[in-house]
Amino acid sequence: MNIWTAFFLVLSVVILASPLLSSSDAVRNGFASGLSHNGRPDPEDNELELDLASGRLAREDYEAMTGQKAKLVSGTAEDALEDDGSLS
Amino acid sequence: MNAMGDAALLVAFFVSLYGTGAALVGALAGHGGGALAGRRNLIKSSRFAVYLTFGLLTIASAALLKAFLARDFSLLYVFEYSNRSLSDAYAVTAFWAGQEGSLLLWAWLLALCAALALFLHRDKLRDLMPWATFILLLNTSFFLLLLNFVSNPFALFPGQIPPDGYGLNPLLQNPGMVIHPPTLFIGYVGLTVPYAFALASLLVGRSDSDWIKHTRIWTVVSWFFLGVGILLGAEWAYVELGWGGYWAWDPVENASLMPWLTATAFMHSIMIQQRRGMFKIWNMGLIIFTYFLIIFGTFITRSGLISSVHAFGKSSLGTFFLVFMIVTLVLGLMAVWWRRKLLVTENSLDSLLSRESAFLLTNLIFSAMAFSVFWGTIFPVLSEITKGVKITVGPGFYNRVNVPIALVLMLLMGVGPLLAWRRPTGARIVRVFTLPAVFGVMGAVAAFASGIRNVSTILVMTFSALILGSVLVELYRGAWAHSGAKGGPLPLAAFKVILGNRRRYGGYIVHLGMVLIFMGLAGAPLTREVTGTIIPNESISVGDYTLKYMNMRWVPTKDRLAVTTRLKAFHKGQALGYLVPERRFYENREDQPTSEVSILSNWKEDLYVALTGYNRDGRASFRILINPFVPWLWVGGYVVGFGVLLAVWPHRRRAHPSGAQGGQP
Repeated sequence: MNIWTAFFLVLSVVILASPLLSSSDAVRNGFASGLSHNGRPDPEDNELELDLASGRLAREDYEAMTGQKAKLVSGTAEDALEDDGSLS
Repeated sequence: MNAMGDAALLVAFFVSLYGTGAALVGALAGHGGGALAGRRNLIKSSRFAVYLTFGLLTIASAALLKAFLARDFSLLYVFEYSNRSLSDAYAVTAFWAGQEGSLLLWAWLLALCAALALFLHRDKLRDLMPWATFILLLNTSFFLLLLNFVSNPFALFPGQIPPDGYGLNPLLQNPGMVIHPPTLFIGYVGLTVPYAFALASLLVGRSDSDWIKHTRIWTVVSWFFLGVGILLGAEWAYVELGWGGYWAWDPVENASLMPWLTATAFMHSIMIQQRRGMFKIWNMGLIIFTYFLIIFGTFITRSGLISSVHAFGKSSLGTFFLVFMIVTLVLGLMAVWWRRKLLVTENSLDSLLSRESAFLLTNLIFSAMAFSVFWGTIFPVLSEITKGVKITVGPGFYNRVNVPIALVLMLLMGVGPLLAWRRPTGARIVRVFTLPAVFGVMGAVAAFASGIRNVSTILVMTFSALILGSVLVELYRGAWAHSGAKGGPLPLAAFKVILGNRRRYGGYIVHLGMVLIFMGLAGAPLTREVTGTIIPNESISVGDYTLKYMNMRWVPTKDRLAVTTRLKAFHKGQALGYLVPERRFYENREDQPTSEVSILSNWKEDLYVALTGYNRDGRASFRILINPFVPWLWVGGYVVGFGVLLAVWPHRRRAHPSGAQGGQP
């Protein structure tokens, strides 16, 4: 074993053992399962809102998929497109 | 410094092994319901092992890099892949030119990704951490086992240290090759992260899609790097090998394409799991098979089982990779079987014309493509086992199978984004498809009018126009909805819709980039080629181009002798510029001349010239090709890159209704 191997081994043992010798960190960290949402809103909901507004998604489907009541935008694209007729 | 690097590599192996065990014990203790401080500390210690392994591998990599820059030929690996005349830039890339160095690069990148993933997600996916750490470290330990005991880059030169090295393979002395291997490796290694978290979620017993949400950025970015790596490899083959093409369905090329195909299917399929709770078993299967194919590709590249210009020589590593590959696949599939009840779909398909059905079909197509490539790649081995004769499958097989599949895929790219979720009505389908269909017809007419008669190329142009039309309709509808709801002019609304829905519109830009790539590929059947031997002042013509051979020169440099020819190019009689194809003879590799092709590009084609032979009296043989649409391939890569950047760009944090700061990257 050369000097570097010994040095890295000692250093590794110290670093790896440090959490095992400490109990306060463990208490602070708390390991409740399922703590993954952090109560934050999901920006991907934007896309479903856009689908709803542009008529790609029916209102009842939006509500079924998100579990939320749809805040229907007045004059949805679907209606607007029908009025406008530019794509039909 | 070499001793330090070697020591760091050895200790990294033990640290990684310890971390693997600690994470496993921590994970299993969790299943027993033992949420005790001791378990938490063990898991934290295993996470420290990941960081430490990364640190130690960084030291080992720095030591090897320094050895290359110092041309320290006391290391056998440095002797084999560099010499004193090699520039420092290529001395750096010689790091990953051989078996040992490329394994070290892989291990270092894996440790980096593992450390980053565990650090970034430590608060979000806490319950998955022990299993994810276990899987990531198990993989790292495997590579460290090989590096320490089978293929060590710090092995010393046996006997007296030579004054100079053997040098780097001339084919690898190309700017594309500088970044091609690391780019591919980032793709391979990055996909280990979603693989690890997917399996962790399964083992923990969670049926939700949190792991998908948090590892999505790893999937998308890794997919992008893998794709760029493939394109760079194609570009290298195009400019360095001199045969005029960029893809030959070589087993090692296939090795990188297969995981890219399944990763593409996975990337699409996870959207449906997030939205509708469907395709869970598909997604798990896709990420497991993607990882399997990554290891399979590494196995065929490094085992010497299948001959290829890209493969490393025959080595004992093959057996290790074979065992690892089988164990990985079997354990993964066993985990899926064990937790199959969690993977039951939450919804079923409401209509065959729904967006979900389009995604399912996309999945099937990508999987079929991956399987066909896999089958063609292993067929020589299978035929040798069963019939005793090695039957190689040529490009004809791959093109016959994959061209029709790719055309259906393009059609889906045009149709899928326009389909509604769940149950679209017939009237709506007619309304949204009218404009893209008109675009498609215009594409077909344009192809026909420009003299193209190849059916595949015409179909590619038709579907490309259809995809463009569908993206424009999507953007228009989104902008219209935004403008109607919030006011403002349509262009501004379109801009806001893109910025507000980066994932979706980033994806559409990626589709447009893929259209350019498909167009580049569609030019292949239209290639025109001429070969000829001429003397100075004679000319040779191909299509509307004429090339006048001006002269030949012999140019010696520090590390090579180049035979350089100069041709003046004309298009319909108008001078375009000069082409300078070369043959190069490198020091220590005189028997392995390389071809440096010369290319004049414009928006629609490449004029490609390779010097294939020469005589001292000035006579020279050239291969001249007109390669239509090839420049679109490379431009398509940039467009895909822009789309990916847009898709993964973090959202600004929004205020939560409760007042807390929210949002996520």
